[in-house]
Amino acid sequence: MTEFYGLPSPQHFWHWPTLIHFALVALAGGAAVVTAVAHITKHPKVRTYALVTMVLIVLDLFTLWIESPARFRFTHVWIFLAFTPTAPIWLGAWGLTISLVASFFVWIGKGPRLLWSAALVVGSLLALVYPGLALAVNVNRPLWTPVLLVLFPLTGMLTVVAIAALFRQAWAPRWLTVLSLASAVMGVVYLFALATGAAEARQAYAYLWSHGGPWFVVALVLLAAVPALVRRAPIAAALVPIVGATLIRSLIVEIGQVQHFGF
Amino acid sequence: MSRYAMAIDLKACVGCAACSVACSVENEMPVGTHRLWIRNTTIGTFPDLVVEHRPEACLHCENPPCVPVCPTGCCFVTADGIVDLDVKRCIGCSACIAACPYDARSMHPAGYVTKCDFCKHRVADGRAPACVETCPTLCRTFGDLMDPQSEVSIAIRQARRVDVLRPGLGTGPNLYYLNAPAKFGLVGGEGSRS
Repeated sequence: MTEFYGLPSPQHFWHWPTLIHFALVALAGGAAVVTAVAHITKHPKVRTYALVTMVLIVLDLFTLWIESPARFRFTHVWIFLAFTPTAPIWLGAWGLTISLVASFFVWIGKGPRLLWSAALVVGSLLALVYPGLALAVNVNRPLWTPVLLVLFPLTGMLTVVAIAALFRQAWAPRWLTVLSLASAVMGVVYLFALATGAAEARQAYAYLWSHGGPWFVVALVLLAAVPALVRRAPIAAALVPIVGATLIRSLIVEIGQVQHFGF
Repeated sequence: MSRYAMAIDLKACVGCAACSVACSVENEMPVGTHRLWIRNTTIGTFPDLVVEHRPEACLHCENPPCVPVCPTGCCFVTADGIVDLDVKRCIGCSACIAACPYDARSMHPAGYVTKCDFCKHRVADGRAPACVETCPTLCRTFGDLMDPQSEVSIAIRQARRVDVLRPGLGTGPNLYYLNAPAKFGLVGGEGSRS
């Protein structure tokens, strides 16, 4: 039996606004990737995509600001005054900022095209990858495994492609199928890696299972059902992966904060 | 150059929490918040029981996982080996809290991360940290590990057993636990801890 006097750290340091951030940054990063590809391929709707990207990034940054306990100390400027490339949040902040600036110039149609293409590629990839990286670097938290480096970008792209499908973008449905299946497979790989990992990983797997595991399975089933829905029920096919992907990301962020399996 | 470290003799610790109270007072922590806490673990099965009182705080790791993930550079290691914070730069993102394998960091109600800093203001004046000074059983020692004659070096050298938390992570903690009851077969055998 273990009891504490004066334990300072509650198990959860990120709360529900952080889950909203993880959902919004998935959309923002994914939208930036779509804008980058559209800009490079000279897609006729590139300005619309750039505008959507800007809106999503601003919404995400606003959510981050709202949830920050330092929101009225305005210390966030230090992210841009410091050089800390080992910090995933620093990389993500620059990725979102570069994507925002590049999207703005794409939207207004000014400036060198090659520069904005390069900026969008770099910025969007950073924005898409950094949430999974921010979790995976914490080797002390066994539910945040390196598999998230693939699973989070996949689910991020999936949510934005699902939004595109909802707005009847012709290119979206086939990518919806591919990304849904890929996300479902990576979700299974994530569970399998935990279940067959070292002792701490197996304990973490049991903890995940008892604190929301069935919801994880529901999310995987939703993702796996998308190919069957794409032709029969296009609107459901767009909504279902948004729910599934967001559910998977939220469960991993929320439950993964625990680390009491050891010392 | 110094390398500050602390050692706690768990055989002598009675879990009175005077160190935790002294820490909170010294560092003006708001009521209900702490930089230092006590883990009281009952080990064994009746009637062979022992309670281990283990004070825990920032371990001032040589390879602190909290430092590289800080996006503003507010977390850093001083030349003396103290893992420190510049709270004026902290954005409260909790990345360092997530990275700490020992849950030694927490959010101050004022919106920045807080943790043990070995009472750096006292150490700069040549005084011991508040927890060391106040301990009624003298179970804590603090000093420079580079100096073989420092109290902490002698305590570690003379201990029957020296442990650090989660050694497998390679963090290189500078908070040492000496003579841990759980490791001595006082109840059961070594490795009997749950």
